[in-house]
Amino acid sequence: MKGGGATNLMGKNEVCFQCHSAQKGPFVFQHEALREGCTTCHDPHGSVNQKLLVARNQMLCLKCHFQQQQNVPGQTYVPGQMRIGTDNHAGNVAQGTCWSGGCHEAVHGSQVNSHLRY
Amino acid sequence: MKTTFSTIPNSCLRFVTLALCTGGLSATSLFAGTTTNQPTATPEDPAFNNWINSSVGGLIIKGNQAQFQQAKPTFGPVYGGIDDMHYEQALGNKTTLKIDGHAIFGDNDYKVILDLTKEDLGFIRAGFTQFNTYYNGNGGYLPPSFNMPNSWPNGQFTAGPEYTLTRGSLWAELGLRTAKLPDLTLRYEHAWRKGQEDSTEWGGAATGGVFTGQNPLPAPYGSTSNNSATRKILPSFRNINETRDIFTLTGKQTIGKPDAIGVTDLNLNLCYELDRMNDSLNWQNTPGAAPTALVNNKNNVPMSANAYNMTQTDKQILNNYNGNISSVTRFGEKLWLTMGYAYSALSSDIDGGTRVAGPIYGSAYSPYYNNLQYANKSGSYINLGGGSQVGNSVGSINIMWMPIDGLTITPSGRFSITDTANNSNYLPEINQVTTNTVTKIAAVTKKVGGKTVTVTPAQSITNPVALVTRAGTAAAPTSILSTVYLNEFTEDVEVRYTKVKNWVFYADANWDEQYESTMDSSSGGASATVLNFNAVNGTLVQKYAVGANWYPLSNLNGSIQYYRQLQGINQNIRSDDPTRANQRLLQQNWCTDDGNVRLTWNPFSTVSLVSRYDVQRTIINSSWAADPNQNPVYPYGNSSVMKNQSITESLTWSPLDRLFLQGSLAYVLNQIDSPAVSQTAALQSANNNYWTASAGMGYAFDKKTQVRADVTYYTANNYQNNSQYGVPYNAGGTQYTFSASLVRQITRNVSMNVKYYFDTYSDSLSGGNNNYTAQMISTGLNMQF
Repeated sequence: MKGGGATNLMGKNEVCFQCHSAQKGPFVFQHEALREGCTTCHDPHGSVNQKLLVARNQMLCLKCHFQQQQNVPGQTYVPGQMRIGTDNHAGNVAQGTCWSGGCHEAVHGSQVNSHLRY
Repeated sequence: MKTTFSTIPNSCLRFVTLALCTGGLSATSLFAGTTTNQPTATPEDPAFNNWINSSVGGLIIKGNQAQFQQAKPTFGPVYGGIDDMHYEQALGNKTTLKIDGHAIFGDNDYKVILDLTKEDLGFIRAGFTQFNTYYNGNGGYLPPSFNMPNSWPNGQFTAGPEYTLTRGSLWAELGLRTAKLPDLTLRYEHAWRKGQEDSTEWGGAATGGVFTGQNPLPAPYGSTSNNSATRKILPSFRNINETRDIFTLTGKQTIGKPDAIGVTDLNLNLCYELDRMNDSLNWQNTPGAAPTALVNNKNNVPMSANAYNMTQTDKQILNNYNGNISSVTRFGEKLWLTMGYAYSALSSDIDGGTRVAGPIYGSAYSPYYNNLQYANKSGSYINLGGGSQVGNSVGSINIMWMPIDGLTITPSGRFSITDTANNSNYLPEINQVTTNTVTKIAAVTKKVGGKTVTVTPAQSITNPVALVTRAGTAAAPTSILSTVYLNEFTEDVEVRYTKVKNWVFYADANWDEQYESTMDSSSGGASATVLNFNAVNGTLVQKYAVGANWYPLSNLNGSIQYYRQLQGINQNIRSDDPTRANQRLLQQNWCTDDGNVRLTWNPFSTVSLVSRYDVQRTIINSSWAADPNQNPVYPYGNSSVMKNQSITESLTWSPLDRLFLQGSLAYVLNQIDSPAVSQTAALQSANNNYWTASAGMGYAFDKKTQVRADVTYYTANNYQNNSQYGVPYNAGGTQYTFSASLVRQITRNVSMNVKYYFDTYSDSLSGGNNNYTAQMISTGLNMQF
């Protein structure tokens, strides 16, 4: 399978979309990580994790989405809290991955929800 | 614990034994794609252009059959068929017929390709391919911890079924190949994916509440309020029903005489693709959990269900038109010019979709009293509609220039302009509302001695019988519009120099700029909130690479390479929704350093060594904001550090003409770490370390008989039990395999083979629920004619 990206006519994700058309979209609410490349989250050459994920736990998302917790102007730091946006997600990450059922299921993009929840 | 045990019946054992003794049976081979044993032909021997390879085998699995079949899609206990066949026949008048294929019965694995070619005219081709892939439907495993309920002494685990997904393709192709006309090819393909596959979007299991308010997280992780009584480890799955119809017309023409200055190869492609998708995601929430009681529920209204099965359907039809043209022009051997342009237009229709919670998967939406208890679970909705329109133009240009001998310069550029307009609309479900009406009773007064005296004060009496406002759907649908304008420009320069003896030096620089404008707006729904988001993103990616290849001796060569990639993203939010408290990216920077070294050495004519070392590190720093006024702005700081190192070593040794030995070793260290790990014990770094080793040997007893044996070993040791705080995810597993084969030439054009395969896998991440031991034995017959 010929590759894409760089200055090739075919884009870097088009190689994946030839088979994985359901993830291609387009979606009303896009996930910008997809624009950076499918390899942001998947390793097409193989992985120890399911679905060829580069990480199977919350690090897959937090590697980009973690925000500084301390020394935030106008906000009191509470040890143990982990704010994403304004919401404390410490209890949520204890339940499972960010893309668990009922959380942020629409990781490739959503037609209905700006938080990519479904 | 899910256990699947499959044995070969005695009758089948006798069958296979007979096959081994006679070597005269045919069925599927042990390994797909195994090369056939080719006879040594003499000048007087006729050539064999055709062959058919077949085998039959048996499979025994103890443990999780689905886990085994994920990697090796073979169904037992007996399997068989045609591994590979090739038939070609000259039909005269420069026309040739070719047939290729295989058929593995029981595995639903079929392939056939027909090719009818006439020289100087063209060809007709057709093909059919179908095969299954299998998925282990098990959910996650929560190992025991000190606060685990007594009823789960062995931890918590829910098994799921094995899922099967069938992929297939049916195609036909017409080609025109004449000297005087352009090369034209017309192709139609119908492809499909149907079945089910597992999902990692696991549902929630109620753990009895023992994690909340007890055994608080130790300092510095904070208060017990950060605990959760739910663990999302219940297996989930997707129903898949997708088809693709693809029409393609390609043309190729060379303009100018061969070797002439400016000779140009011109390529044209036109493509229309129709995709239909009807998929669904299915997960469950806290099965067995008690419903939420309603106060004053004397109307016996169904109570709100905390246990439910969620099904979200996704139905879309996509029409995609694409046309592209490209050219390669040669101005002699030292200057080449390549150009290309493509335009794509995509329109999609959201052909319905629902998200409905109910007692079973695929529950129908039933308004009012029938589904009150499932109303508005996790964003439920019905009647999803809408669609998208996308237009994309892409152009590229590449020059290969050799100004002096040994120096090659390759500048290139690309642009991409994409306009996207999306819309969707749906009816969200709303909860039932229970209220108790209030009856006001006026005060009773009377005149006593000319004065008004209150006999009974005013009263407000709450009706003890609860009234229910019917649940159902919102009064008006929610409508969403979004537009995205994305412009991307890429420039690249590569320089290669070869005039230093035994060396090749190269350097590459690449820049990519992206400009994106995004606008969202929304109206309607339960709250009639208007969403308004308008932002502009700018991204700059720079990559600089240098490397060298070294060829000092015929038996020694090496290479070294390094690159650094910098990516910066900046978002300017022009307007935002006052009610949507999203996390908003303001700035993000990625810095990647990557290096690798490779050495290939043959110290002796019979020994070959290949060594390779790779290292990569990426640092991500980010700044975020949390509300439309960008207040607060979270300070710019580290989000994560990603590290990867791998070392591989392989050895090939042929001490005798008839004997070769191979060995290899690979060790990989891969980790994603984030400051988030220090915030809560529920989070662990993502460790993906593993190592593998393999060894093999092959020996030819004589010209007719050869044996081969291989062993492999894999292990990952990243698993850490933090179940009292969260769910452990890092892989921990071990796998051993052993295979042996014997090939015997019976006659010059017939050979037989016997193969044995052993595979054992154990997995601590699944608590042993994915473990298996498998054995396969087969015999095959290869015939050439």
